[in-house]
Amino acid sequence: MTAIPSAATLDATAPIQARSLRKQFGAVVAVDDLSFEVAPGRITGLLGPNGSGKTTTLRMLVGLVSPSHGSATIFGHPYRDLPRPPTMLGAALEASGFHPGRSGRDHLRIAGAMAGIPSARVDEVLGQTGIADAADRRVGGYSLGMRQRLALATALLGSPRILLLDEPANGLDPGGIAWLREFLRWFAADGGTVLISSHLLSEVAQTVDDVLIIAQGRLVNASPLSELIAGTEASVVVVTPTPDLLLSALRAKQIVCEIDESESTASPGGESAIIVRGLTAAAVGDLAHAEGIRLHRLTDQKQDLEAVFLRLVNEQPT
Amino acid sequence: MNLVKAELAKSTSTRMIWGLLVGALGFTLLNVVANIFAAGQEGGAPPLESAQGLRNVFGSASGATVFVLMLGVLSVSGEFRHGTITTTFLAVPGRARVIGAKLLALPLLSAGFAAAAVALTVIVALPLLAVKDVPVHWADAELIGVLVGSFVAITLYPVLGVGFSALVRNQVAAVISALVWVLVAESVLVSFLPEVGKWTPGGAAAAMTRLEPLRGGDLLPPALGALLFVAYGVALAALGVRTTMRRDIT
Repeated sequence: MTAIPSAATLDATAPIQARSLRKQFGAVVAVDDLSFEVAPGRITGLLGPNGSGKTTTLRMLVGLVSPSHGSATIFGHPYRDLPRPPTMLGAALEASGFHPGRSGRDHLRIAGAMAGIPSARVDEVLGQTGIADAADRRVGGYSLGMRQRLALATALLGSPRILLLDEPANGLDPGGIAWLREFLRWFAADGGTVLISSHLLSEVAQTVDDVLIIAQGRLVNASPLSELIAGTEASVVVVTPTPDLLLSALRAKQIVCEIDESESTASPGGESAIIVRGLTAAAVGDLAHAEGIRLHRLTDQKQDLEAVFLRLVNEQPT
Repeated sequence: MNLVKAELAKSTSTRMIWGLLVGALGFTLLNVVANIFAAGQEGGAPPLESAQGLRNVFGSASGATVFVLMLGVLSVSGEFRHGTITTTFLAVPGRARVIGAKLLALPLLSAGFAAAAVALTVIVALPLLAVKDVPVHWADAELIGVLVGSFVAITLYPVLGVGFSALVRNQVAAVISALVWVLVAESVLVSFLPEVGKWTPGGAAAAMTRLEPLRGGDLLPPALGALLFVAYGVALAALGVRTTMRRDIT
């Protein structure tokens, strides 16, 4: 038995840390060598296709699933060793973990009682999540969106500084999604830590600051969202009758560029298409003008975020 | 004790509790009437004029034990059935503490069942026996002991259910196997091995209720019966905490 850590030993700079997490269910490796950190004051998205290991990862963070290897800590300690854990980390891991015959209020009352949270919090979180009017109805009659709000209300009961939300936007209408986004922004701006999972990058692109992407249980990206976006927009397609001149001019300036084979074959009259990365279309045009190179076409190729996401999850390290 | 209070709230916040209470009281009522009218029949129970005959009537409430056994089984398996175990183990990562709280909370709840069933037994039995002109020899038949024993047995029975379901967390499997044990398997076992009869959970319960043990044989003293019964429940729970309850919650 480890001693319960006092508030003094909690490491506020490391709200969530995963180290070499691995989980094997029989012959299936659900999560493999997964290490990451989640920063305070930011919203982090844990993204990956269905079955990539997101839910297993979240459940390992809070000790519901025990890792086959590696460890996870919350404020520097395993979740189970935290004093009254729901007051440190609130988790909404599914919108289905409710007894259908129990009212939303009773569900919250029970969850609060187990963690020693004053019952006054029940009404506060009901109001905060906008389900106060439905509080005394049986959860069996709730819509998926209302269940999501009840799951979030449960996570908020202990006034935690970390929120762990598994696919929280599922079943929410556009208004609900906008509300959730606002709420999470406010929570993070207040210094809170948010980790949300989703199988759609576009769904959370307007919400998250940092992006963790996993595919087949392995981490394939950990970066601020802005870096992912930067990686998507800096590609320009240039069509020129003198590709060699342009390529050497670009390479002289250490700019990454290559012949786009698919475009070139389709172009008549000896034209070639060149993909230029790291420059805007305007910059490429100016450079060509300065060098006296003729251009027949100049296009910003805005690969969208979802395409980047798909590329990352499909080309994983072996 | 926050956890015990929370466990009481879990069991009382759904309709299931009312279904089980109605079942327990209905079955008790049926038992009283059946025990009075079947007594003394050829090949049946001892006549009402005998001490054992009267004890059978006043022990009718013990039929309620099967319903509070289910109360215990459902308090664990129901959490897995509906996925509320996620919320529970998030709030209380110490899984043994959760099972411990259930072991304490469920008897508090079933004490209410026990009081109602025992009271119903007396309220129905006295006028029916009066109609049949059967004198009630309270002291000779040790009827108070039977009523108290029934109360204690009903109160303690969910302990066995909680312990069993800590080991078998699948609701359907837990409910069916618990019912098969108390309704069939135990009596079959005792018919083959009469000498173990007083040591089974049912035998321990019979020691409390002072009813005729299965297939004859003797009984443990009531206090020892109660102790053995609780030991069964706690041992199953301890085993469950070390095995089934350690499994991943996915």
